[in-house]
Amino acid sequence: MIGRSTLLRYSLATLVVVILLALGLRLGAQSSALGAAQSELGDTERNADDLKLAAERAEIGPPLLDAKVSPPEDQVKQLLAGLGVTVSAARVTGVSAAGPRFAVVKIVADGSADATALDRVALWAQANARSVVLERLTASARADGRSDVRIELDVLARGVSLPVT
Amino acid sequence: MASPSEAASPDSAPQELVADEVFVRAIDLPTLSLRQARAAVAQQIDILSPSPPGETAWSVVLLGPSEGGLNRFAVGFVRRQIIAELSPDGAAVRLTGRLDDQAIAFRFDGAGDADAPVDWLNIATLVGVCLAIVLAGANLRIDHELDQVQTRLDAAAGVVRQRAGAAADAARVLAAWRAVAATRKAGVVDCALGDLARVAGGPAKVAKLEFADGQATAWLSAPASDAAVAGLRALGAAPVVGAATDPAAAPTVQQFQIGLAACG
Repeated sequence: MIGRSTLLRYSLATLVVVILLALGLRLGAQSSALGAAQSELGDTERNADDLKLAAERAEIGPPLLDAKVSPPEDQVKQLLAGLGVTVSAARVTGVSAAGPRFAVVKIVADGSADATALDRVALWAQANARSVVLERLTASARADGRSDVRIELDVLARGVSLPVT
Repeated sequence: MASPSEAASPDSAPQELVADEVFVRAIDLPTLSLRQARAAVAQQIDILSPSPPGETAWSVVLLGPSEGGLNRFAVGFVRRQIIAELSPDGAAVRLTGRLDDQAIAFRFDGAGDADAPVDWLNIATLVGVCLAIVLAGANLRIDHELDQVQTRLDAAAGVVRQRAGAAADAARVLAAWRAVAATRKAGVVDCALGDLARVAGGPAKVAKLEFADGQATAWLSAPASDAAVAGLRALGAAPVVGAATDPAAAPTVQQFQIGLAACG
């Protein structure tokens, strides 16, 4: 006949075995879950890096204007003057968001220019097509050989405060 | 091999046994040390024991000095089976033997002490408990690591959502920008001016030039000749008939639209 103490010892041993099995199974499941979570984390971090790169690549620009330096219309005035257009007046007619960092500034500039300067403006706009769009250009010939011009540009700019809608 | 107990539990109540069951020998040794005496007996157990040593338990008691500076020890022998019967729980047993009519009390270890089999169950249980503690610690540690990884995963998922939105916005803006830029190619102005100069064979006289929606429209200062019209048509320009908006325009063709198709 098995004594009480022996029964207790066997019971304790059995209990320990059961606990060991449970802990072992749980450890195995945890290890598996940890491996899966780490793998998923790696994938997610790679995905985040890819998205960051994609966002940088998809971003338009570079911006031609920086509103923190001077008003956009003044900068456009200088740009057009550099191309041979005498700008008598320039004004911002609209601003719209273009991504998280930039804005598109619509600028209308009035002035005068010769045909060469107009051609230069067109080529400049084409060369900077990622940053500026020549919306409209109107040139009316004058008697002195120059033309009165109106140039409407969409220019990419940074640092522009967007109007609250 | 049997080895006697150094001390019995003070609470134990050693059992008394009839003297016949304990075989007693006297040996003289040049020492007073019980430990050395036991060692000497252990070395000579084959000779001293009245029964097979493997089946015999023995115990040593100091009797006192004898002749020649030696000391006399009494060695009591008893069969292990008797010890086991007297002490099933393995406790020490006190047995009395006789040597020259002198009663000598010997203390024998219980069967459960010296030669008890190793209790592997207890050892395994103890090892299992230790292992369970280690496993529990590992469980807690991995739980902690899982929590950390999950936290980082949540943060990374948030970053992914944010960047996915930013990438989508950027792609949308870029697509819109490209769509606008594609329909408003400023190079059309250069193309139109070039075409007009080419047809005129030199600087063209243009009263007005307008570029809008990607299309250039030129108003000539003078009525165009048939050759000039044909030349402009050949270059892809489309004459605007009857749509003259300039007051100076003659009824003849003098307004041309030059679009992307002409400037391919």
